[in-house]
Amino acid sequence: MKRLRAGLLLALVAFAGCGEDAPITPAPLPPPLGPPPEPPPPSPAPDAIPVGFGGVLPAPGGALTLHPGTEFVVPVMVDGDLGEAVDNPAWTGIPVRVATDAPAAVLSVPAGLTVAARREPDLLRIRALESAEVAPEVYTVHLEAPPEGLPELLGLSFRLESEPVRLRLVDPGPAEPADCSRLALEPRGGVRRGDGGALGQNWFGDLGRDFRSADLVLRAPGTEAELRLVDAYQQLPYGALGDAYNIVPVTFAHGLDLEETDGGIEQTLSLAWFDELTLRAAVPGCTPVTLRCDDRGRCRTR
Amino acid sequence: MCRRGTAILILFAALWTATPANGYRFFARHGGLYRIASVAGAIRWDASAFPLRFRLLENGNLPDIPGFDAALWRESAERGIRAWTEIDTADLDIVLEEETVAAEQGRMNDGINTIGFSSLEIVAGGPFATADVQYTRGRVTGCDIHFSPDYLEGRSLDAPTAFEELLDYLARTVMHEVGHCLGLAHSAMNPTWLARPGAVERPPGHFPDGVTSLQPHPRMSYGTIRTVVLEPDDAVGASLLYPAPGFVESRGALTGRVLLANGEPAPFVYVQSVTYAADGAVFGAGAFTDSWGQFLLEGLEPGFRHFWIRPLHQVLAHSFIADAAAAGSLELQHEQRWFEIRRGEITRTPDITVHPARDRRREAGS
Repeated sequence: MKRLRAGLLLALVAFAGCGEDAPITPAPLPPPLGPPPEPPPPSPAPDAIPVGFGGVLPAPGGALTLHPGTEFVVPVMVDGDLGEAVDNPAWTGIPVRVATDAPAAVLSVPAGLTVAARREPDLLRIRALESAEVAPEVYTVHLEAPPEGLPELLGLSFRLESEPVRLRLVDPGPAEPADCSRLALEPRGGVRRGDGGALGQNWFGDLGRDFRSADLVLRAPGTEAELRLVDAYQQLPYGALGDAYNIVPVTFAHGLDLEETDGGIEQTLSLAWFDELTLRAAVPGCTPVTLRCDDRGRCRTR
Repeated sequence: MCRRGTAILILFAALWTATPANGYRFFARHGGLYRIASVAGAIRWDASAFPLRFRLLENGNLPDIPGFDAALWRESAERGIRAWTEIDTADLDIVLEEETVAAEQGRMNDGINTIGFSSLEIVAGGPFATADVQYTRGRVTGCDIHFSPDYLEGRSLDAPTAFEELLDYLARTVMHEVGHCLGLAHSAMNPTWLARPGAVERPPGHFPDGVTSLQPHPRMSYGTIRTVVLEPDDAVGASLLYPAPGFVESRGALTGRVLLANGEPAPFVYVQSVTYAADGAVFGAGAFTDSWGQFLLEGLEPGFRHFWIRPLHQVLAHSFIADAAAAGSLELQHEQRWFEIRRGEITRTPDITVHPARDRRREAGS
């Protein structure tokens, strides 16, 4: 029996309606004496469609962190579906300016972009320069209307949301080389055997009848360790469902344990596997260590 | 020409043998609901909408099950709601009012949130449940949860505990659909089975040797739900949307970029935290990478933390699956990393590179 069978149909229905409100223009005032005042910035209509930043931004007030030399991509989006308007030849997109208080030697941003609002989002790429110095300052990047104001296109008016993107540069990590002699990946104690139970067979077919298990311990100097589950993958037994199901590791965890050790880590993974298992541990600057456990329960490190 | 900017999201779950369930993930305000968004860009209820008030539909469509009545249905619905209101770190007040609504009025956009066995065609003809979420300009304005009158079709009452299980089943589905009403989309299942201490849940021979209980998948994922209890991923998601006082200040976040081995971004990869407590490790909150491989995982407890980075399993629930498949981020080796999370800060990781997994069964058969 296929244990998990759930399907989902998602539908989105958007409705658009027209209001009857017309802007009310007050009677003109007599011209004041002296030089004419600066014209007030055009105020958007009350139902103006917001244009703002989307994606994985922190909550208002929070600052995203960037390493020097890295980039953050922010989609600029309109709040809602513009429907067929964007397919009209008269649709030219919404031109906006990009402003930042960051020095040019810190962040690189384009001067402006056009929000086409089509299927693919319009992207603002914010790049922290490689040579930028890490500092506690929080910089902002925000959208501004061009001097002529935001256009009204096909009867649609727009307004810019005021929330900026906040960014802070942080150090990419310790420059000191790791003590590679402290990198180890090995089983602790023996390798055990067990029965995968009905659940194991449901998920992994014949493979799930029995498994091997062991406490596998990663010791790493520093916290920049990487551990990869390299070679324990099978296609789940859902052949009838075609490619809808992807391949998964044929393993499970009896338990996990993590300890900090003298600036490094000791990670224990009490893993069970159904035929073979390969794990690869790496620390920047060190030769990676590979642990391979075969279907007879023998584990070897190299 | 003008537009009102109002939309209705219909989450429609068709069920065979499992209750609908697939870390937290939000409906995005900008650029399409199913784009990846952090809580800053999520659709949610305005604070003034609380307490959220739901009413049950009148019971003309109640399933014809011996012993099942309106009072038991109300009790199940209340249990499903209570799972959310009991989250310590979220400020959620949800009330199931005594008053009921005629079944034919359980429609969208009438200003009353409802739960019930609906006469709507959209759920007719099978064991379906939906959450119709209405929203405008980033704010949820209404939600109606519809159960098909056939929702309990085919469920046997032969076993001694079958009736209790049936009530539990309804409560679990209400819990899941209320999650959608709050603004939570389908998230990801746990990366692997994780044994945990606890009472024996299943008969001998069901679980692998040495395992009496496995950590359930998040309730907003597509994993099978067996209890009316939320998992950490669900609770963190709700707490980010509706934080209790002090929650946001007490937590930190992790941000970074996941790349494929060829240097291209890895979209829709899941970055999940693992938390360690006295009773063992638990898979915690997780977040998807966006189309550019970027992620922001918020609501993390400060400290040195373990993260599990991996592709989606059980992919049917996700509308972005075609993009993930096209980008090559569905069949990846699992990666693990460790990062320090600081209170009120966003930790930046170095780029995380992921590598394609080998399908050994295909190789063996080829």
